[in-house]
Amino acid sequence: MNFSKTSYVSEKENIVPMINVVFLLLIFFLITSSLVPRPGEIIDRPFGLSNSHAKDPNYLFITSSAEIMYLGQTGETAWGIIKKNKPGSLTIEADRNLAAQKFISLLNKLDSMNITQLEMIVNDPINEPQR
Amino acid sequence: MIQLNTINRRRRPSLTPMIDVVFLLLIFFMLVARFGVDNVIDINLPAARGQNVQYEGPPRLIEIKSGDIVSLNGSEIPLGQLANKLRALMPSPNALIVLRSSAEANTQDLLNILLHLKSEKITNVSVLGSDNEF
Repeated sequence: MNFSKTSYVSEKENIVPMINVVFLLLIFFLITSSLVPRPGEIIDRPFGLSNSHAKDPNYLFITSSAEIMYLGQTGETAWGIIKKNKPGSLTIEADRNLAAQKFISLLNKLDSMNITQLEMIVNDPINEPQR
Repeated sequence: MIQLNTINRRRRPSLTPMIDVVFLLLIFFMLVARFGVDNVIDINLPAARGQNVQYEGPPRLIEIKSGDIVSLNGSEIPLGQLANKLRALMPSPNALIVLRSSAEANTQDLLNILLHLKSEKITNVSVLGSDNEF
């Protein structure tokens, strides 16, 4: 009798499709993600209803302790960059617990620098997005 | 003379380190990526409006307090009543309103009043403050 031998030698899994998928995911995240340097302190955005969306990628962060951050720089360096760049518009992400007087002072300073168009980021009070 | 058999096998480079790096990059971008768009409110500063507004009529000074209480010309009222009380003091719908913040008010309180006034179509608001805190 002639029995054929069953081969138990396992074939190597083909990993090429997996690498393709991983590369596609990588390219997707590379294109869609924006790497804006943010302050170390967490900013609790104020609540407010608005239908308009942020158009300007020029972010100015201000924490509850009135520390500002612009293009990864803080304090006087950040103000120096704003003065030098003279952006026509800014998107402000301020902490909701920041003293109102400090925020008004910030607006006045930006006004004195002729930065005319400002957008302030708010969170929907009902559907607060996850950080 | 001894002659050794030299077999020139083509060695394929190992893909494992590259896959490791790609996975690390993928995990990094997955963690830092933020999806969705940010909702914003527009703020037009006086320089943007490019106009000198003349004040007319009786005083309309709002002081921002903490919470849903505001002070209109020195008397405290709930935020919900502000628009009606203001309209009684406004000679025209576009009359200027002056806003000032108390020490205890925060940005959320300021924003609540601005959004409330905006929803009541009162948009000509001047906010008092200094610029010497930065």
